[in-house]
Amino acid sequence: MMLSPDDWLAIGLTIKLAVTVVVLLLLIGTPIAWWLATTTCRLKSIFEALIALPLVLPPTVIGFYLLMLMSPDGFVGQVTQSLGLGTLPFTFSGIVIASIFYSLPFVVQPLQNTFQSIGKRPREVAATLGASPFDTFFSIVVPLSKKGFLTASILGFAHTLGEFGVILMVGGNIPGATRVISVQIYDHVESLNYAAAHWLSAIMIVSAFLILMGLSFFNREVSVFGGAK
Amino acid sequence: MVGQSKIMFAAGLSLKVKKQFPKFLLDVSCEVASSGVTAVFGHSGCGKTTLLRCIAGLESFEGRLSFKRQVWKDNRETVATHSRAIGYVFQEPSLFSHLDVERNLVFAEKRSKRAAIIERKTIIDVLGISALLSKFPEELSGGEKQRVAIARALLSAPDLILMDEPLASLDYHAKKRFLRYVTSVKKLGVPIIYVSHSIDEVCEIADDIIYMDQGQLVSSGKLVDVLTEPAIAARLEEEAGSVISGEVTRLDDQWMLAGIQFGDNLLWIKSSDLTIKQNIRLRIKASDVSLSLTKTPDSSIVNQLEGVVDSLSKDFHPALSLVSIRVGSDRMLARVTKKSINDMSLKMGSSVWVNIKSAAVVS
Repeated sequence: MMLSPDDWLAIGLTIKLAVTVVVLLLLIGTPIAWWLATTTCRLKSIFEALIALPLVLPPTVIGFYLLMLMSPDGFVGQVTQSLGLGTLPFTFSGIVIASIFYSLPFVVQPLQNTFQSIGKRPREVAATLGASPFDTFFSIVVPLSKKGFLTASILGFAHTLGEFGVILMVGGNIPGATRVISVQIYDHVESLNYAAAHWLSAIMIVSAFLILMGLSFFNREVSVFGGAK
Repeated sequence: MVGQSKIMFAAGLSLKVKKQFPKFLLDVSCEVASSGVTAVFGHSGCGKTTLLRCIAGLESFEGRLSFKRQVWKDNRETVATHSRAIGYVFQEPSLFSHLDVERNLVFAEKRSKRAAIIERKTIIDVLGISALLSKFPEELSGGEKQRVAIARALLSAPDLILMDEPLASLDYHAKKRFLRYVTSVKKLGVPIIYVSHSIDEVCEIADDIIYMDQGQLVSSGKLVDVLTEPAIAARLEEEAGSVISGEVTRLDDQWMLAGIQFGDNLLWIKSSDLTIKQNIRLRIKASDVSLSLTKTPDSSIVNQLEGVVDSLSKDFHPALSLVSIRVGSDRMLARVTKKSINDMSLKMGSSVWVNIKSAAVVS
């Protein structure tokens, strides 16, 4: 194998980042998606647009403003310092937070679509049978949304794997802390080490392909059985 | 109409519902009996479903709502849907698609707030779903799904069952069978509020009726009384008629007829599948009733009963008049021309012979 210890470090870090981000995004994204799917609030469009921003903005723009916020003079930076946590830029926590913003639409949108497609009827039925809203969410909505949760997790994971700009802006290039695969590839190319860049790039392509193929296959399976709708 | 005496009878559901829609005001105040089936009847779009959803707490409104001694909504507070002891059967079958029939039932059982009033086995037997327990909703027919939905509603041990046109998605034969299941459920003793736009369905199962039009209450009370109110009968046009309850006391095998005793009177009808002592309900349409001043033995009409004219009122067409006739303790309607009324000099208190051309067994 042509992978150096640094490459392995980057791979491990990338997976750790993606898993952490997906778990946190499911926790944060589910209530947001639920709110967006069920609210009649007029501010809904504003929130939908805000969440979708990372889809169209250059990662450097998001990275730049996050860096500003997290820097010692920024609002978030002052809060983290006063809590004795230091500052977030150039740390693993920093890139986790940046990735959460950047991958948010990839988790919120599939969940929101699933919640909307379930509609209010199952919730109304559950309520008339004596189930509280909390109970209904976990015993009816979540099982009916299996497909949506899986799609959201896979897209969130895959998208976090592929990040570059935001991480470079917020995290820089610190081995074991912020140097993820994409940054490592960039380094290899900078130092004209094309063979190493090839290896990592090929791994990225194959894993992205497998993930997306798995997603497509899973979606077909679900629709064949007609469940989860 | 709502006086003190009516409020005293608030043993069942007492409601005062007001809700403004862009083009529509729902405004209904009435009392619903605490037993039997109360039909909420009216044309499509008259607000029946919205009213039912308000009762269930699925829709917000201004006003108050109480059931037996529990206040479900007043000016200060609203009891959430899941805290009301109701069962709701929606228009389209709404089983949980990720659970099989058994687990759909268990879902309701586990969440019922008190011990079952009716045994699980009884419910499953009455609705004929024991063979379906291990199936998933997508494997069931529309009628089967609705029966499971009713069983599920019953298993949550409700004080009141709300049904929103549960037959809407069924074909004719499934409807007929299904109504028999509803009648059996009625015998289990849980009061039912049943939304329908079909007067046939209402005549078959309802004891009481809430008649609505464009969001407003037209009339409410006992089905037999409301149906013979002149204003209601005129609204029902071709469907106007009366409902009579009686018992099969005679079977004439030679002529294949059955004699139905109601009050002191006997009415002969075709004897299909009827047995002695069976209680049945007959619907007699106003257009199937004619009047004569003397008994006409040379007529083809089998049923000629003596009655007294109770009221004469205008009908939906200027040539026609609706005559309400008291026959014993029951009341029947006849649709006759104004010319006939004039020729026969009919007025309140006139004695007449009521000629009934046909009567349909509705349940």
